[in-house]
Amino acid sequence: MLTALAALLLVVLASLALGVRDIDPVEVWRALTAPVAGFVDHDVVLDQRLPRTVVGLAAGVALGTAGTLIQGVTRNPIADPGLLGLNSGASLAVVCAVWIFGVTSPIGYVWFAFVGAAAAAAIVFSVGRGQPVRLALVGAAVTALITPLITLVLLRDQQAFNLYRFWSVGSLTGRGLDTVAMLWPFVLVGVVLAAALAHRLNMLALGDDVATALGQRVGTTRALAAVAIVLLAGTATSLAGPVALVGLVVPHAARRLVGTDYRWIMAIGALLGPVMLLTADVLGRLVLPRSELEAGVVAALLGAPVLVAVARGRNVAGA
Amino acid sequence: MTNLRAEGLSLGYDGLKVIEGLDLTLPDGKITAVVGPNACGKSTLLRGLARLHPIDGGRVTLGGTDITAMPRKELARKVAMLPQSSIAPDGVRVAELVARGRYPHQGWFGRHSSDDDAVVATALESTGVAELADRPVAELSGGQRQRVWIAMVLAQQTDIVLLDEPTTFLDVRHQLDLLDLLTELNRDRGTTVAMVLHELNLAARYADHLVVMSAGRIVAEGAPSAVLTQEVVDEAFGLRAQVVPDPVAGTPLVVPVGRFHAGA
Repeated sequence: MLTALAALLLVVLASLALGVRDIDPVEVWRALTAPVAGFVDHDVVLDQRLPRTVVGLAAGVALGTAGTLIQGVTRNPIADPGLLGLNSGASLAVVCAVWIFGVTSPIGYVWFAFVGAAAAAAIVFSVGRGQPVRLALVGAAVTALITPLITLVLLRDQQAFNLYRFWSVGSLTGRGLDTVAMLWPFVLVGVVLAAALAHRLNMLALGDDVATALGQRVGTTRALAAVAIVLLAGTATSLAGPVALVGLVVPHAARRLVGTDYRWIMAIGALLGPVMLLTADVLGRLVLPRSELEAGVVAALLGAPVLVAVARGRNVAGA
Repeated sequence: MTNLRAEGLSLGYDGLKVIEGLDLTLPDGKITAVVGPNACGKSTLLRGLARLHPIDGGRVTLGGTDITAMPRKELARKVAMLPQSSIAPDGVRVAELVARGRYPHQGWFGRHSSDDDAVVATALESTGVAELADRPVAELSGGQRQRVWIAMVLAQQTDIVLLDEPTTFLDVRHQLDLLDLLTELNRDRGTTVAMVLHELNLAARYADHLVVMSAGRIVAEGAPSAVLTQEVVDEAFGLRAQVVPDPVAGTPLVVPVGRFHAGA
């Protein structure tokens, strides 16, 4: 827990200090506490790095928590917001926003992304009726249905295509503090709900029958989890685009660190989410000399090996 | 009176009736075994008694109160059920799994009290898995694992314990082991035990009250020696068999005949 917190602090500091222009941590501190107007270092910290760091924190917490909830509630170790069709729902809404309404600013399509994710989730959860396998199948069906629709729009609308190319990769830039100011209550409600549900997930992990026999209303747990997942994953996608793998990898990493108790997995997952997303963002700034790699790309490059390591370490037969 | 009883109980799946108008009372402080051919509704009956299955008609009562009128957690403090579908999560340790049996006694965040610890320790002791407490459940043998699940059910501290085919997947020695353990719990704590069993002869030996089911109804119930006759075995299982006294326990021993061995 302390290690995870320390890692988070460190990566936040790195996110504020590192980039094309490396800034002394002392100057970072000064920029935050007593900024000097017109001083380039301070302007860079406040205008560019602070917003993307805050976006990364909010989206990371949301992704880590949502991923843990989804895996817990479906008892499916490869479940993530993408599997439930949330990302494709958000994507379709965003390209439609650009195509039909001519929306071009991130703040403009935040709500479209949110509503798209929520709509997809509503379909998946209501048809899937909480049964793990059915949820995964319906999620795959919804994604399969939506993906060609997205392509259809992209083929017809050049502007939508250009915007979507960058949005769909997932990135922390281009979204300001105003976006976070709008969406943070959703993250807060989602995280509080997730914390309250964590112990229930421990029982659910033993099977629906055992959880019911222990006195849990399994349906209620699933419904509340669905609400939290929509709030969190919807916010994350609105903020950073459909970032792949963070929601999938973080719960596994958390399990490796703290075992099988969801009260701990949830807490560590909420911290590791932003650690992974911000690390990806910082690395993306450093690998190319004069340009940047999007956080979504780096997160995928980081996440895939971690996932392979988890798969190799896992006793598949005993699962 | 805390009797668990089914009154005119009907249960089914998607409109298909499995059990219709069934009456049954589990005798307090006794071991009840439910036997019957595959798909006769014995597991469904047990699930209905534990409120794991929606009731289509009639009711299940506990000490006279309809169990659907009770909060689930309250029911879980009185009736424990070990279903067949239990899953031990990857990497979970024995003591951790057993501690989850405390859930119905805890609040939302499941804070542990020293009371909980004592109950869990006792459950581990009385099922003989105390020395395995820190081992991952996945590493245990089938027999040990089943004891761990029994320990979890014991940590629930209920007067009634229901078990759906607890001996399936165990070899003969471990089947006896487990049934001995359940008998011990029944005698030491006065726990009412009801279980679905496949093995007729073990059911006859360990049960105080034997329930024979066929096609969703009860064919016969009562003391095993009175219930398990050639006629009942034939009616329930469609099986020609001789019933002789078990040389060890004196309870009925069912010896099936089959097509190639006409017998004496």
